[in-house]
Amino acid sequence: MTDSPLLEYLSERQHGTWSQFRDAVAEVGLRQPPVWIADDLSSLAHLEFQPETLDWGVCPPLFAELPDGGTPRAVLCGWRTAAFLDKLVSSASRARLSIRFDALDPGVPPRLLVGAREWQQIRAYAEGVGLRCARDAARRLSACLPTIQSLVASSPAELIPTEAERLIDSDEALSTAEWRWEPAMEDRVGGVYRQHRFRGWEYWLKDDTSERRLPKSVGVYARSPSRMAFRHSTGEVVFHPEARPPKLYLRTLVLCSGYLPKLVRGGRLTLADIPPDIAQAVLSCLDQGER
Amino acid sequence: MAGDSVELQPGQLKWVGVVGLPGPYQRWNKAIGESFLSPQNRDRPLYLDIDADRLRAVAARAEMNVETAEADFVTAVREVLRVGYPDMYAAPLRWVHRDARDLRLPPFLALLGLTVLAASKMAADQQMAANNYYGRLAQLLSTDYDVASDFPRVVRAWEALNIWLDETHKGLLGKSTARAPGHFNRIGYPISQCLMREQDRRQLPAFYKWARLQPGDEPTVCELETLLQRWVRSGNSHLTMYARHKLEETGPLFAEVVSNELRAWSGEIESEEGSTARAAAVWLGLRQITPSSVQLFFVPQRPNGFPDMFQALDRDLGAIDGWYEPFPASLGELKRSHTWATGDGALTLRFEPKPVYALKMEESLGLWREVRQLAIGDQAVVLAEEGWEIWVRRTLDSVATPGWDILDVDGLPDGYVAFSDVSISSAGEPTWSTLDCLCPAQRVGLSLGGGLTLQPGVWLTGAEPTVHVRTIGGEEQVELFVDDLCVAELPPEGSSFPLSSLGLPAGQHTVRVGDRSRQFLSVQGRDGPPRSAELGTIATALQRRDRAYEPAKNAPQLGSRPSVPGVVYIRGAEVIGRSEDLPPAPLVLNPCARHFYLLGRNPGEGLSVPGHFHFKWPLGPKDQCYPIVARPTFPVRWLVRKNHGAHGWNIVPCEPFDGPSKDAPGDVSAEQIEAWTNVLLRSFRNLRSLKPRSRALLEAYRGVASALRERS
Repeated sequence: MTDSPLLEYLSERQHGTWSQFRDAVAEVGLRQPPVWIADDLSSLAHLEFQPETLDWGVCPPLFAELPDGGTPRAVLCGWRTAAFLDKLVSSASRARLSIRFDALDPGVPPRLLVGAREWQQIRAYAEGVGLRCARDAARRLSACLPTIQSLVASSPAELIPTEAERLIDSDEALSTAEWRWEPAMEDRVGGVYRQHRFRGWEYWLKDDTSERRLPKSVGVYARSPSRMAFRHSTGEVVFHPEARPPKLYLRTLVLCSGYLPKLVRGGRLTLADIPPDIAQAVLSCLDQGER
Repeated sequence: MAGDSVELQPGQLKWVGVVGLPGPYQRWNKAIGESFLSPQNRDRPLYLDIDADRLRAVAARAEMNVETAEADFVTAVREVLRVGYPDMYAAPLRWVHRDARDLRLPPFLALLGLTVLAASKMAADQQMAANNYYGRLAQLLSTDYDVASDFPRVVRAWEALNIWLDETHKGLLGKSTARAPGHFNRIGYPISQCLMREQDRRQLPAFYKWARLQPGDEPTVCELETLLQRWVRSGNSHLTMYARHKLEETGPLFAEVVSNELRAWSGEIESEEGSTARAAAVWLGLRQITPSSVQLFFVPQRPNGFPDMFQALDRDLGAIDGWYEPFPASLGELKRSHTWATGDGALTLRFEPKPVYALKMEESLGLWREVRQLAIGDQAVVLAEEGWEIWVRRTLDSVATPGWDILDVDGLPDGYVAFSDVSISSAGEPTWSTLDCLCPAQRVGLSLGGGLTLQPGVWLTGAEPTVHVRTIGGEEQVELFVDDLCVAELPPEGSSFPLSSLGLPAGQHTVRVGDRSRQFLSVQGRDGPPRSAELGTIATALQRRDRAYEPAKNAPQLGSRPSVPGVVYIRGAEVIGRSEDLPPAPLVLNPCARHFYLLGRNPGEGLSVPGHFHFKWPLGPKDQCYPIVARPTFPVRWLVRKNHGAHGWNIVPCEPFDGPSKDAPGDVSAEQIEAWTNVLLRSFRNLRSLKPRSRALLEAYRGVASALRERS
């Protein structure tokens, strides 16, 4: 079995329900909440989840080419088993490609990175082992990200329930101290609200015209233009742990390096090796920056 | 079957007339189908238990003559059979294999019903022995002919019905139950359908409770038979005399039926005396609201076949997995039983008050939920009436590790005391049956649970199941064998052992304790992805609006060939869709330069891309330069660049090196055409170093540019 029995098992099952996923997480002895593991596997483009039912399906395996044009590299996404990885490693050594496994978070399969001198070498290798290459994957994803307003508009209109809590906004939203939820007053003001329901926390956004139920990530980004920042000098995208961007945006950023967000000093999450044009596309779709 | 194929989905029922079968037979076939098959039976064992009473009910439902139902039915079936000929069952079974794969109602249901009717008449009388099945069948068909010789054909029809239920309809109308184990051979199929009547099946949850069986338990048929006989003798059973006789006559087959029911049981409880409703248990829940307060909930179970939304008179309950949404219980409500029923009374939820509740954490619900019985290793909270406190303390002293404590919080009902940090460590024999919930069972048992199971009985290598061994209060250690090797000595009271710790190779394995054994298969992951259409069908659908994308509503599921115009799918790292709907591929302009122009083959297709300037060129080893990325909206044919340190411009052609279009598209402006021509007609520093073919191509583009300039 691989270092990630969970993904190997899910690969053999191919698809299933949320309760099967949850049981599998428990069976492999992971202590993190299953929803965190699900977020990580989705960000790494291994699994897709249905938003309503949380039914899951493993993505077909492929090599996602990383966007750094100087050194051709690609990471393996989707379906994988130990026997399949053995096959990939032996083929890579025959093709004289460098292949590397980098450990990621617990429960998440290691990053399999293939490197070569020319892109053509990686593509020929992928073809040889029966896989496709997603060329410049992060950049292609960044080109079709919807705007945060369209995500809000497509969320169902639903009145915020009584006894909900409201997120207290702050100008310094990137730091840790100011994330606070307080019981909402009778007079509802614009903002993000939440209430604990049967499946866990559910979130609503109130703006000038409507009240909608939506994912937390959509609500917090639609509400504030300062949840995420890009540091041009280091190529890092920074955001608060409570403000993980919506699924597709996070996946776009993760596919720039194949690494998950890393917690750094100051209680922020960072993703490194983000080319400026991709960061710009993500920030622009999330409406981050001055309004 | 006659008629064109109809677009049906598994779980939908449709009858289409069959050419060559008489009308009365077809009416009975349809009536039986509609009476027995229903989405309400989803994932539940389905029995075609036809006897005289059921035939009257079927006739009443189909508005046929109730008084003569049995005689009419037998006559109708007899009419289609060629009684007295070697292929007497041929007419309704002509296309039996094809019918099994067709979603429409198979035409042989009524014939199979007749074979069950014969089985229902198997009781000893003066003329025939109780086990003379073929005699009863011949009697029904009023013939002396040997009805057994062609019976294998009927057996194939039973197998076809099983396929039709389990595979063609995926269990959505009920799961197959017709089997012929052991010495029952062929006639076991019809007999297995009528061993129990509906009112007997409704008693089975009471048997499970008596035997301390839990959903998911898999006792052997032999063990079940013994337990059933003990239950019947115990005086606790309300089985009918009919079922008691069947248990006596057909022991293993009867136990197999109960085993099927146990596999499908997901916690349904026994219905009240005389009730025809299906009932599910409502358990007590407890959630910690603050460190010093708790709230009580009712937690309704949702057995197989119960709807996604339970609509009772005073509340609607949404479902998740095997539960309905918990709702708060007021403190006074614990003293009496409660029932919530659907409007038609067919389904009920029932809460029964108890003096002692054992509660385990249910992660999916986020609360502590009452369980029927704790097991070794469970962490629990116990809620007990004050009168039972002393007995609970004594019981916990014997079955739990020291460290449990009284929970002092608000929100508990008056007259109750709660115990927290209860960790069950051993089996025990309760002093009172009220305390059964605290004492892990001591019944003999060997079961496999947990692990990463791929299908029933098959586990992924390296993640094999855990063996759970329960013993009858023995005093000697128990040896656990895997493939005839002793791998562990377990304590006398039983224990669990993870098979994954053994590093077993892939293949068939046998686990044995004493005379009990279980087999399982461990398999390794495949060495390549399956060519399955089900791999990767979940994706995020986006609708293209000009050059932007937004979430798509009601987009079809991603198939193997995306064909919906205007929709693209994101699946993992891929963007999938029609080429005209995909975003233009971003172009990485590497190495960097001070300025770029990108030109297409149509006049007017051009994009100016500013580059950047480096004070030091070439770059030092530690200097960083981000690539410049352009997102042209047209296929690029020429890349024009002003390099660092160079005074002029360079031009290079891009694949596929095709010639220019002479006319500009309608949507480009005169300024765009002028910019396109101006760039092409520049002088380029690398003109002489271009390959002759590229130079000729450039001349062709320049020819078009010159012509356009003259025209303007």
